Amino acid sequence: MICTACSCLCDDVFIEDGKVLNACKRGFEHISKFKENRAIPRVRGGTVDVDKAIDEALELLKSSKKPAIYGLDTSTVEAQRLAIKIARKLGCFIDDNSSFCLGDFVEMILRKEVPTTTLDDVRDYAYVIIYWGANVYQSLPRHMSKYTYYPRGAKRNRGYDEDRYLVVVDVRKSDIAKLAKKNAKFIKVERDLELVESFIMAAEGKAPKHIEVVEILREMKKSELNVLFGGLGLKYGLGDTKILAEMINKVNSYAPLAFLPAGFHSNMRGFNETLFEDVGFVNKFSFAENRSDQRFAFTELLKEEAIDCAVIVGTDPVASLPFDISRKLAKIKTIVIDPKDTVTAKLADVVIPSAYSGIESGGTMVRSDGVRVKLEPLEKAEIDDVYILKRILEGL
Amino acid sequence: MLRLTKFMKFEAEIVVARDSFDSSAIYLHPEFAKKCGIKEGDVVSVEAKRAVKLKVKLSNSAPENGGIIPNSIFASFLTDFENFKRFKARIEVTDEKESTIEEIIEALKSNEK
Amino acid sequence: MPLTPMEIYKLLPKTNCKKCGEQTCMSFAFKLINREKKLEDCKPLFEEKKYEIQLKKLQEMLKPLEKATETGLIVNEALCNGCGNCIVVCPVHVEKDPRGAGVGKGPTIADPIYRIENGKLIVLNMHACRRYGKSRILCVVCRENCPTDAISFLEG
Ligand code: SF4
Ligand code: SF4
Ligand code: SF4
Repeated sequence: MICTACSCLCDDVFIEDGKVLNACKRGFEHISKFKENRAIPRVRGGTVDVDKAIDEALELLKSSKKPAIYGLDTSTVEAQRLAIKIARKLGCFIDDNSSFCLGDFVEMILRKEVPTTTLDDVRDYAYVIIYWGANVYQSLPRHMSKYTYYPRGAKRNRGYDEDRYLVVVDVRKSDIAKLAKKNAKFIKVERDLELVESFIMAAEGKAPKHIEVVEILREMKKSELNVLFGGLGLKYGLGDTKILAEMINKVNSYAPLAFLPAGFHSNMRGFNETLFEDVGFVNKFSFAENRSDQRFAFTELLKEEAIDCAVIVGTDPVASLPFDISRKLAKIKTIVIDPKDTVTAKLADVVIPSAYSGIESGGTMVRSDGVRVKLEPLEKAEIDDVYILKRILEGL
Repeated sequence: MLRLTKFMKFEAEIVVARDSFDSSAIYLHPEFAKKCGIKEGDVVSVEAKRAVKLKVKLSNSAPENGGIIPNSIFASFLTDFENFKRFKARIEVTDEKESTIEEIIEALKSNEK
Repeated sequence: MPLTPMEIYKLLPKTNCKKCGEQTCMSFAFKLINREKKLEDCKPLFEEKKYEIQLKKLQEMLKPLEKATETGLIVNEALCNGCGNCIVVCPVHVEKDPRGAGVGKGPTIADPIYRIENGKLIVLNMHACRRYGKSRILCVVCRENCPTDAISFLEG
């Protein structure tokens, strides 16, 4: 089966004699505990049947003036398409977690502002591998062993200590920074911008502040493919992606460097791509105004009290948003579509229980590098995101 | 038993972690816990912008002058966006029970500030 | 942290009484680690009350030894998140399973040294490890690439 616990979408996971094989701990927890803590259909706290919950959701949406749809990062591309159709029909906002995660990075790639690659090519050809602000040991546990640093690839078959050059950039000595030993570098940065500028300077042949960059560029020259994985640390460290795109392109005038996001929700990239194909933006989009804006990010909409109803699919904002913003969410009408009884579900007006994509429901997801993966579910639930969203779309 | 550390508040550095910890606990650094006379299994009141009561566990990966709270409703309850990942809190041993998710949801629904 | 003979030695009586059959307490410490001797062989430790605290500490310290495999390997499950680095780097896996573990996938051979079961590293076939047997080499490749030091060896 395909593990859908993170955006690596590992394809070698299976179950034998009741044991889950090859999945990492995060994957195992996801696969083995899917039956626990399930959502039940509810309307304002009272248990109902699914039909009633869907009807009630339709009522709320019809009477709402300014609704928003949010989440969908663990739903399939098929479900995401339906959600976009609903948003269009309602003329409302749609956004996902990527607006405060790595959406900007994906947008940069989809707009072809920077060169990119696939994880399979990284495995087969990449030499210099840079992780910047991404401790993948925690966020994408098998990233390094399955796709990047450790596997032997077609052109990289002598093992990591000879055929790869690892660079880890972080504010602290992260788990993966400990792996940067021979033929490798750990750069501890306080200000990411300084290091970005150093790369630009070095590529222009000037002496950079971070002198180790010169050696990294020299190493890059040895290979046709090198890759930079940008994580949340880089995104927050820089704030703006323009300078990052400039850096990547400058470096490319000297030595090849491809860019990939290292974000973790299983199908966040799928959401970005699906919306981009349709409207030309990756997230925080308003169908009423037909454009994307920082003000349309879900957290901003809540903060500014710009919406009166939210459909939340497969994500638990109340568990992670700051309390003052959650409190605003508690004030508006909320419809939660989720397999799990999340904290958000506990305070929602309507809860419609769904199925786990990849375990109980099939479809397509997009790996962090843009490769499409067909899910291989263990079961086939009747009621999943697609079923629910289709009924909402038809009912409107 | 009379505990000396009771009624004493300690300033602690709190880091919010995404790692897979048990979400209804605070992971104190063993040295810090010792210094404050807090034991594993105690319930402490953690007070920042608001206060929650959490069960204490120990972890070496916690900051030396404080602890880790997993990224959860409890962490969100304590903080605001600006210093979301790292903040200062006051910690104190309490006899009361741990906070529950339901309590926090009640607080969410109530409109008082 | 791998256990060192020195740490053990510090807690022994250090009288070189030879009751354990060794010439010195230090060499007894070495044998303990190699599991050629048992703590019980040190009679004074158990008989004399003044060693009580040291004995407790030693027993605590040596506990992992019981879990160690014949190659002296200990996996600390609590620290392992199943990232698979150790499996993919192992030179034996690369040689025997070039299309599986060698290219980053879960092992595809019947008897890999390691595999990930239920999210944790499991030792399946220690006999294939380069540290096993007479002509063994003290390979530490897997340990070196575990980000959380979940793998340790009693020696080396
Ligand atoms: S790395 Fe991600 S996709 Fe792969 S097994 Fe772990 S959680 Fe699942
Ligand atoms: S010690 Fe070497 S041969 Fe043995 S399992 Fe580890 S990497 Fe493989
Ligand atoms: S490298 Fe360490 S954490 Fe990763 S699977 Fe092996 S023992 Fe577990």
